[in-house]
Amino acid sequence: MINIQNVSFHYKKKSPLFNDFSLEVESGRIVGLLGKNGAGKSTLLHLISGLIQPKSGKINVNGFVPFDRNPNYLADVYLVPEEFGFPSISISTYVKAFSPLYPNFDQLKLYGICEEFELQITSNLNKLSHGQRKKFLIAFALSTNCKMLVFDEPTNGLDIPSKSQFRKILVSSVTEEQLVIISTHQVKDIDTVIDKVVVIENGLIIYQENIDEITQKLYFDVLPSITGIKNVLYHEQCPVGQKIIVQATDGNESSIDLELLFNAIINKKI
Amino acid sequence: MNSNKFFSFSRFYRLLMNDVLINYKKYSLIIVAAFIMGFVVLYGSMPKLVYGGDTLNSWNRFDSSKYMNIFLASILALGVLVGSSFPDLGSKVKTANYLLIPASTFEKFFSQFFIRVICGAAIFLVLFWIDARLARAISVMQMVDVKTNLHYANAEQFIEKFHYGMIFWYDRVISYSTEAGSYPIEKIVYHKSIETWGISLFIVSIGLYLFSVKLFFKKLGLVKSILSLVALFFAMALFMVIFSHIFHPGTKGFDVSLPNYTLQNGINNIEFWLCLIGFVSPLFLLSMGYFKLKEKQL
Repeated sequence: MINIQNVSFHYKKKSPLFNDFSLEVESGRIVGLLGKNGAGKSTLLHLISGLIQPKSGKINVNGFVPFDRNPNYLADVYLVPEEFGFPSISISTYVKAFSPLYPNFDQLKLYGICEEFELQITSNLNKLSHGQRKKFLIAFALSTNCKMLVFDEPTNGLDIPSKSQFRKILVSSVTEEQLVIISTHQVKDIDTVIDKVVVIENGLIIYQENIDEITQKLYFDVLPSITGIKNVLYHEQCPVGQKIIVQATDGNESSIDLELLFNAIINKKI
Repeated sequence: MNSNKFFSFSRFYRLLMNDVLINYKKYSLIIVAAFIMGFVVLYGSMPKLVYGGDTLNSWNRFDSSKYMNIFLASILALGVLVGSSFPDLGSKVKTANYLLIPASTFEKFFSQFFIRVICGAAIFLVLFWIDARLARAISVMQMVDVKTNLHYANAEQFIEKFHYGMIFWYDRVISYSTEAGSYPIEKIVYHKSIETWGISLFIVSIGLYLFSVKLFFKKLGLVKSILSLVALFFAMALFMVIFSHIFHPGTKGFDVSLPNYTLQNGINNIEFWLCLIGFVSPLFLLSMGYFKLKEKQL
């Protein structure tokens, strides 16, 4: 569980990124952290992971203060950063070196995911492509079985089949005790896996809602034209006409179009 | 207080294994390179020909002072190893990975200290000893007397057998006597000296300075640490000049007036203070480095 209370943060010689920021997220969820470039998504992930210290306010994750970097906390948190580097060793050596540091590490799970991602465990990590290395990092993160998994732009650099594999593997491997936070601006890549949306802009939460609540309140549709349609909250042109968001009525539910929702939120239509 | 939060043997062992598994190629290469370099320097410096005049000083001997010079120069290589500690703090990407490794700050700090300083120094001392003995053994076998152009039977006398006592524990006083037509016979008298301890501790301090101060720099840590060390020496020299002018008004220009006297048991005041600074400063430098690592942010 993440509990952030009145946190303020700014980088050296820069204007405040977060000011009196608060957020609470329960375990057992896959949270989509959305926002434009520079909104503070990565910074928030770094605060939650313990890489940076808030200037004021409190952060509590699973009973720990992240910046204390208590080893028991670090053994239960795994961050997949947007940019990453590996030593020049094979996958199997990397696993031998790092897996003992995570008490709940599941080697069979890792080899299973590697197989799905078509990764050879004898391969040298630095001889793999960026996408392959990212897939390995995702596989390793999921195999740690940490209580909190943090993904920063996980689908960047992945090809289309790998993106869909990522979604499938993520959903099948995450348990009720885990909390997964996925920060991305490629919202389409994660719209079928998340069950809570948090949108931040200029260091503020401008929207947070569970997916089931969103689908109860809002109805997403694609129509040839919006002529005659009442109460359109937001619409966007698409090749076949208009993508629209309207208020859901009579218990009608639709699949969520996360990109459309995100644009509606950013344009302050919702 | 949960001690597991600060130190756990099993976690520390896993962290060490992590470092060794990742860096074993680099460490092996450093050991092999240090062994070869040490041998080449020592072997190259040892005489292969016996020649000289009537006095011992005119003979091309290889004694403790020459070992000492090479030893001190070699320590610079160890300084580079120590100064290249915390290699993962050189870039933002690696720093994030390193800070999030599930181990306490103390374990991370101590693992680097253990590998770079303790193991590095131990391996260095062993390698230097092997190199010195090996280089001497080969040089002695090859030694030729210029007078006869034959192998010189008493070659061992010209290249002193290396042992750490000659560097760390004793000063050597040599007297010699010569008989007409023969080579000098040396007589060695040892007495305990504080000076070598002072130099050793001073070297340790410099190593720990490079080890700890690197944590304050994000990029080019070793280079910046060395530059800061040079700046520190200049600052220290400047302070000494200023204090000399304040407390000894007769001091001229950039001269340093440093009263030199014997405290007791033959211990010199400057040697004593060198030892004291050398002993105390590592404690300060190490704790400074630890807290810097603890507060390290991305």
